[in-house]
Amino acid sequence: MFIINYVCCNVYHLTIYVIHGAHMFFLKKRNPLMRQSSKKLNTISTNDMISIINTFNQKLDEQTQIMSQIYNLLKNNNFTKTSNVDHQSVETELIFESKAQDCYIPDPDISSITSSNKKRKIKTMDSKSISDALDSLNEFDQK
Amino acid sequence: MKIIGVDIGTMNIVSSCMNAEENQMQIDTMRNMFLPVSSDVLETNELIDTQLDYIIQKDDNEKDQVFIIGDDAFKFSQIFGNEIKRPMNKGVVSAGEIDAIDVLTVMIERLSGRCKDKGHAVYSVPAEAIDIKTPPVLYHEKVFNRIFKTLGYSSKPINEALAVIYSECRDSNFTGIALSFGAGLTNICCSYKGQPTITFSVSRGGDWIDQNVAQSVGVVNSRVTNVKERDLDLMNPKVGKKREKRVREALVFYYEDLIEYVLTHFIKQFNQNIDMLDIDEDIPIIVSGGTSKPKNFVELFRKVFNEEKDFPYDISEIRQAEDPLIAVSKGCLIYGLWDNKKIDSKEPKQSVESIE
Repeated sequence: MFIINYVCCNVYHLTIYVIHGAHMFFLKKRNPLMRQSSKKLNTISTNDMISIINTFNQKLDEQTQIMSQIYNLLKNNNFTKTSNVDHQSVETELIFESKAQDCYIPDPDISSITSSNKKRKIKTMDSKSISDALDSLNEFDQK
Repeated sequence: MKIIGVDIGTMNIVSSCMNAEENQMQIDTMRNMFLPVSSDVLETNELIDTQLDYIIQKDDNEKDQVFIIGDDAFKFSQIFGNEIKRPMNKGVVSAGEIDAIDVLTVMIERLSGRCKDKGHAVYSVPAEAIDIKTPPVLYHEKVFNRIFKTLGYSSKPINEALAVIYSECRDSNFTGIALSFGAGLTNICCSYKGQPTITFSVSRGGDWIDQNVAQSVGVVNSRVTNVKERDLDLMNPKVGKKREKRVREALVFYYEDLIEYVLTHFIKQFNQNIDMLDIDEDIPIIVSGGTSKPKNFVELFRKVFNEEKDFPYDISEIRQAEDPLIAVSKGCLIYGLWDNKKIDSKEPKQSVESIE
């Protein structure tokens, strides 16, 4: 099963990054929303993005043929290969070096959320054990 | 600067901060769960009169969706027998829950508040599991960095079991082995003078116990959780009415199985890494986490541990964290305060140099 880690998007493409162990792989597809509606991806909501991710996850689970498509996509784009790999598995055969900060992480979307203002019961504890621990850690630093 | 320590657990979120004026640590906890409620059961305008912790959000069709969150979700599910939803699974953000990230953001906001000025959050993350393939922790970390950023905090993750060491091992100079028995995973860290030397997790925890007991005895998971958390004594399960007694007996069986499973992997990992670890002193083992809260858990742990003969190091003691539910959050807070002090002590020095 693939676990999708990052999604990069622009108006035309959706790029899905998958991390497996120390390796990162990616799959670039036409933006499915462009075909489904006139929505532009740069205004997409977090919920829509998650539903796309889930759709992709299901497709990847269900259709093993997609593995060879990923392989071809990656092969045609000159991605690095490792020598000692299991050639049965695309997951370990292809390595794509990428910086995570370039990729999409969903922003929390709480703008449409109203929450109750139930009063919380906050516990308190004496902080001596914290100041003692900090003294010991600061001694480490000084050494 | 406002500094908070947040234990982001599969079952509970615990947030702590210092109240410097009163020399006190403030702690707030919330169950990491939510319960969607149909408008047939509870209308939006009726919610205002209740004492429930809830959120209302618009769905894609601009229709109100009501989620009861936290402890109230747990209580509500007990009354109506509904299965609750969990934003996290196996220690990380649940891939299957579409509302997970938004609900988690609101929960953390309720516990820690928004930070209008400078704020810094240190939060716990699990280690990669060694016995199953779990979603990578990196994505989970990035999601929480975004959540804290949305709430006005810079943030830093630390290993959950290492946080227990910071909280509980001052007397041994932050050398020790911590086992944090959570709901999704059991996290393990061996630390030498505050530096993690071995960290890993195994895929079994409180949820594994609940699911197995529920299947074995034929009750819903949340009812098992309720019995487990109410007054379970692992050395004396034969109390209560017949059905409850069966639940308690099954709980003891699966608790023992969990400890055996964790210790098997624990001993194997330490034996595999014996060349890397040259510790010449007796080390303490600290047991923590919500799953370790039932009475006599440590006694059961000691019993199983003493039956194992292959552990390669000498142990000075096996003890429970002072408060197993708070230890991770407290450790995160200690680390955050320490880290911030280091940054503070560097900053004036740099400015003096720049003036010179």
